[in-house]
Amino acid sequence: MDLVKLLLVLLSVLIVVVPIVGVLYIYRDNLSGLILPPQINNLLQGNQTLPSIQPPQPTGSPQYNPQTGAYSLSFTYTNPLDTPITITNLQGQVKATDYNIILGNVTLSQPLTLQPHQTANINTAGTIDPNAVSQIKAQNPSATSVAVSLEKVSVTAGGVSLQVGEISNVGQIPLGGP
Amino acid sequence: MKINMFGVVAGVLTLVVLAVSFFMPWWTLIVGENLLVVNASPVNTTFGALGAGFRLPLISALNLISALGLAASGLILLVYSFLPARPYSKHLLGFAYRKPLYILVGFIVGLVVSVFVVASFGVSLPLFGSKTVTLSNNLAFGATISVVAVAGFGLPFYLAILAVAFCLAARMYHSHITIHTEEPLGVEV
Repeated sequence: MDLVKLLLVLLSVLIVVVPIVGVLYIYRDNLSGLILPPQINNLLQGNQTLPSIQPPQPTGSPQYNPQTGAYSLSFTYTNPLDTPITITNLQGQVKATDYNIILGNVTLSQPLTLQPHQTANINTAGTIDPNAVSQIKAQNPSATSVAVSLEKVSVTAGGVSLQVGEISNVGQIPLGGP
Repeated sequence: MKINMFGVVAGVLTLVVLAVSFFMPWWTLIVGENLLVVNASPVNTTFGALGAGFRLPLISALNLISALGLAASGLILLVYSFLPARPYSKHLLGFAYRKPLYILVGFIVGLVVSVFVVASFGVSLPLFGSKTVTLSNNLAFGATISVVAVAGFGLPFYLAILAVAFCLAARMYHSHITIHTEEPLGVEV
């Protein structure tokens, strides 16, 4: 019966030792490769870079309807990844830059899926507060337009949420008649 | 002929766990929209980052050890279960019933340690459930990045717990079998 026990102990040792010795032998010239896969090794050696996560960039001119207060702003964004990502949120506060007055908010109209490395325009829409416009006109009756920037911009893409402080100089919006 | 039915079930379950674990992970972690995916089990652990999949050779070696251990354990448990009263049966049982338990405990300990090690780098990942992981990003535009991480245990994990339970039951039942197969002194057969 000691033979059975001996064989079982030998089996236990072989089960543990053979795989370890095998992998050490395979990676004997590159021990770091045991814990660093080639992709991470390439990153560390500078042969490969991580995709750059950048916020969407405003494009074109904002559209504003003084009668209805409707405001829209377009962004352009490129998916830096090799997998599709869905932009489920893009929002920010519209601020009159020179007057430091919050005019309103814009949000993403509908979720948008970008294929790998696809560039697409993203449309956001919102409403400008007429009281804020009146406030600007009261401060500067001769102003016909106002420069706007976006504050508290947040983007959710691919399940990652980015909180960007401010995107300045997204364009001008007309103030309309008195 | 005495049969240790707990051992039979334990042996079959162990082999089923081994087979299922190659295709279904015991534990899964998904960060964001599949930006980072970890599918972990003692016999097959894979990682995916930004759409690219990879394995760590050292972990693959540990996976092989676990796979061989589960296979040997399941087969020897089945052999033992039909020959529980032989003189060498206790050695077969002793070899086989512990391995699924060691592998299960080792997996859980490894998982917990890994999560703690990652947490020491400032990234708090969940063991189960979902959690929002926030990273301070010192890139030029000064953004703060947060991402939802979801983790959970799969069916093979719970099957493994069941297999370990039956392994322990087989060990306890072995004592019952051996007591009742001993011939009392002075009784002629």
